[in-house]
Amino acid sequence: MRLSRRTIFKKIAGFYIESIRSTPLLAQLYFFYFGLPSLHINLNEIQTGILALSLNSGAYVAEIVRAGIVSIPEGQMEAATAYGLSYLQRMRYIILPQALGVTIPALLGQFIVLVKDSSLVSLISVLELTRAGQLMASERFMPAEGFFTVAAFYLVIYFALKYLSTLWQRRLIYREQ
Amino acid sequence: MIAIYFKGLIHTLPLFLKGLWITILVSGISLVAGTLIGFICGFLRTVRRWGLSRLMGAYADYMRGVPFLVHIFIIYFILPEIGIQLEPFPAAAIALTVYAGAYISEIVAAGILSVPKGQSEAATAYGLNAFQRLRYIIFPQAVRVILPPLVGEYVLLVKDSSIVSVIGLTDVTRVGWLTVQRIPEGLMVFGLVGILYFIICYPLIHLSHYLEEKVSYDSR
Repeated sequence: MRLSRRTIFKKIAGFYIESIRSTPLLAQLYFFYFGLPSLHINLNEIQTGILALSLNSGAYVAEIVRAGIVSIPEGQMEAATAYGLSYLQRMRYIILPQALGVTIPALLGQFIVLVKDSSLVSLISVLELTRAGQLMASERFMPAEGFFTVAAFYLVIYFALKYLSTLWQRRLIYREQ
Repeated sequence: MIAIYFKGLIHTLPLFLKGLWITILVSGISLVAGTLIGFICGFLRTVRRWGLSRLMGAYADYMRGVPFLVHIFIIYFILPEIGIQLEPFPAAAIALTVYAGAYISEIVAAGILSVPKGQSEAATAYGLNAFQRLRYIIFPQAVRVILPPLVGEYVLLVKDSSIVSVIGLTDVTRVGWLTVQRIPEGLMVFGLVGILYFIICYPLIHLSHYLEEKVSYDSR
């Protein structure tokens, strides 16, 4: 969308991405949590959390995908046009398969950020990992045990994703040789 | 109805500006301190001796793997158990500093490593000592790689500073949270909060893009 030649699409996508990227997730989360009921849209906490997180990471992923598409040499597009492929076909068969391979490590990096950001939904009282740690601290007076366990769990997820990312990067380098 | 709320919102505007000041203050302090820590740790990370690079790698991994919210809880709720009681403001500033420092150290280390090894070897051949090599040869070249992501990191820092509102620091986000209890018009209140953050972050994002383009232009 961001790369589309139609200016309206470009403007809308640009506005969405810029506004998400320059405001904190917490503000976005509160925006939906406190704001949607006044539009008579009643979602429960988990739905609100998922909505805010999706919109938030969608904007970052859009930037990553855009960078991936731009990284494909223009000659590819021109050659595909010369073959008589339509725009959709060019995107589907020529550009995206090449672009996605390059973007995977960045996408995994974004995924790590997403997992960490998901801790914020505890603030609108969704019972997830961080919230569990908070309850441990407030109800059983064991903040150290609670929060260190939480941190350990997050670290496990982080290292798993990081490992995947290095694996994929190695594969990319291997393929290029 | 909306008009009344809107009037109420106008009246609380000074409170928002006060919150904005706290946001700028806390992120400004941790920006300076975090950059300092980041540069030192980033440099230590490239030292292949005494396990320093591993130690710094572990620090960065820990900070990158655990959400900021959990860090701030650890600093604010667990440090008192070992006798260090912190006010919200210093706790927030310390948490942000340490957090940003880890990310900046990664950026700095990548920048230093991006300078070809021959540069350092040539400088050694000229008889420069380690400090001189870093100061006059490596660093000026690394800065060009470091600067754009560094500014990007500052944007993240300002945004992450919103999380310190949970330990009771009245920054913009907390002011919004407090206001929405009285003026039940979430879209308006947090729209305003969003605009205030936008005013700080948007120029920074563009500065980062500008620097990125400039660097890639220079290296051509």
